[in-house]
Amino acid sequence: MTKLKVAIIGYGYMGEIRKRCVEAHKNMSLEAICEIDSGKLDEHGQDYQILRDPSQVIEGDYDAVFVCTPNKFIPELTVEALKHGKHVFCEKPPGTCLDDIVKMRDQEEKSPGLTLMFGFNHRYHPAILRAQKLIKSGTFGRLLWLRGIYGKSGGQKFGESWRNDRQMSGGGILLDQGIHMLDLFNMFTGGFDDIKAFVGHGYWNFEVEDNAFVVLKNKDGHLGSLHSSATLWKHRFQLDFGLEGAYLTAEGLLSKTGSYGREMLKIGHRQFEDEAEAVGNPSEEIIYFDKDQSWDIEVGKFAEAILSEQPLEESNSMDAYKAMKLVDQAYRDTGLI
Amino acid sequence: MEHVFFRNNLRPEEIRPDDGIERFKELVEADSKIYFSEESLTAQPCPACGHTHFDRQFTKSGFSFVECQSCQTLYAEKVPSEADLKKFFRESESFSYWFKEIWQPTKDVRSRKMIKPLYDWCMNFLCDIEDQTGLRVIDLFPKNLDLYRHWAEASPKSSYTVASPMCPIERNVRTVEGLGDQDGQYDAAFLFDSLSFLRSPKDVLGWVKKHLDPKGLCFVTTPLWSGFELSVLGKDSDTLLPPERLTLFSASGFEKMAEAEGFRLLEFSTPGQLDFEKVRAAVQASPSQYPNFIRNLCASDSKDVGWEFQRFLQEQRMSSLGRIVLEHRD
Repeated sequence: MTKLKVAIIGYGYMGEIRKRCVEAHKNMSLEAICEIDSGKLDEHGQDYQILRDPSQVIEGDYDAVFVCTPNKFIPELTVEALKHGKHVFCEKPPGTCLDDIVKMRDQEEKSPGLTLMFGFNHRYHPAILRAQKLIKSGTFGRLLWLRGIYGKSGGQKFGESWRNDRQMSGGGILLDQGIHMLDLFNMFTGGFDDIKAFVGHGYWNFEVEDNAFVVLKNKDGHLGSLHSSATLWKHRFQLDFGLEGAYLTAEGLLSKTGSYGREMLKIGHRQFEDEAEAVGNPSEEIIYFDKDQSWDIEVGKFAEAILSEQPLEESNSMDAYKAMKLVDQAYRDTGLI
Repeated sequence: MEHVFFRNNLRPEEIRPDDGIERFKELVEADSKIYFSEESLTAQPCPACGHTHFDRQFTKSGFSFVECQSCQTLYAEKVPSEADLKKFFRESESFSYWFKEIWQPTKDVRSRKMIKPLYDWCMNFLCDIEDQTGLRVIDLFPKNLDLYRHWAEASPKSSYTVASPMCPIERNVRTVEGLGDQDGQYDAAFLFDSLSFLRSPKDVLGWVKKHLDPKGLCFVTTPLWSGFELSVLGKDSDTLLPPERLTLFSASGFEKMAEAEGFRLLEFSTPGQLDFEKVRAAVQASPSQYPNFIRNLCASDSKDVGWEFQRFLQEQRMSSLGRIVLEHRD
């Protein structure tokens, strides 16, 4: 099978991850990395070209482009790459605002046969995949509610990050990290209609929010709440699911540093039948996972969609739009936009 | 590979009443002499890795146990024939006593605290297949039909085959010899607490590999010699009652065997809940036999010590009960 010729624009944290995944994929060949910061990539002894100007990628002979830049540059690079006949894998968030994803979707519509995917890798974390499998099976009855906590501590150099510059990022912790959780909320429920939100700037004092509390409801009766935070001094990812017959908690994330703790899925069964022994304290099982394949799975899905010429069923531009729409609604509710 | 921590408030006396277990042990000791003469036993290499060098450990109920120098699995140096084992499980006074005096009175609690969790565990992996077409399941060498009955009620779409010389013949219960020989005919195979008494666990895993669908899974529970209870109590552990237990795998020995037979481990957990309680009971009965640390651990007044220690054993895969899910490696 012909290998897809791939170029990566942006060689920061995400660019490095994508490079590893592309190099590991049997149907992809890494041809070029474009990074404007000459200090980040050694130009010698590489199997791929090092470029400094993104237009060289856009106009070059590549099948697919990974856009791993700060949010501000994502829409234009994506639209241009699509215009030049390239499949595009785009990091989240999909731009700085709802208009950005709308522009990308417009160009996607004008570019039939091209794949546009967004990097919502949390969908493919093992605890989330297992929770999805259990919930879909119906074993525990209907899903009633979701409750997410996702946060980090920032750190000494947090203030220097482009992520906290509204011009570059478009928003704070909710747009940067909370969008993953909102995407998961959408994935598990189909989406939300009503949103209430509060945001704060209480510690870091950036122009973007460092805390967001979001409450959600949809027409099917699902309820959701999210606390997205840049002032959790202990890194934390936790997604709770309330079902008719059980509760599930996905907690921790397998990550490079391990700072979010061991990734696990807790399963507790409703136990009305045995209340004499377990009043509100039912038997529980905790599944620990030790391998994160989320990055490879999503890059694999991207390649598969291109090579099979089939539309993406998930992490597509509609999923990106729905996640961005929730962020947009939350910001509007707080008066931020 | 994943592993689990599990808690459901199971207490040892709920499933193994003290008086009954003592009598059962006496009967097994006597029956072993009747059913397994020294001449009828044949020598074997390590059932887990095939290695032939071992260190002698002890003799129990007429069986000499050795530890493999390569994988540290404990096994009976000489084992009975399949025919003698079958006869023992079907006809011996000890196993008749087990069913009447131990299994029958504890059936309800076993059903709630052991069988239902076993079913839930399997379904956590199998639920998507179950959802579409129903499951083709084979339960190999169970000693009773508890799981079969629970499964039939909870998942009526499943086709559930029991193959065991130890069970009474009912609908869907067959002898192992009576099974068809079609490749890939099962979605799931169960080997619950059975590999430890089989003469050749490697051959059984090979059979399972051949008859599982390529996407099928094999679920195993087995005592582990490398776990806390067995490591501490050794010969004195109630878990080691030959001929029901002729092989006690080490965790690494089991992994080697499964990988050699073409399986990949999806889960390797040790969700045992009784290690601490069993060791504490033994230490209270004869404290001088055990090292200071174990005595101090078991003497703690804090209720939480036992619970927290058992939790630690589970989380570090150091309990004496292994729970494993295998899938085709290729």
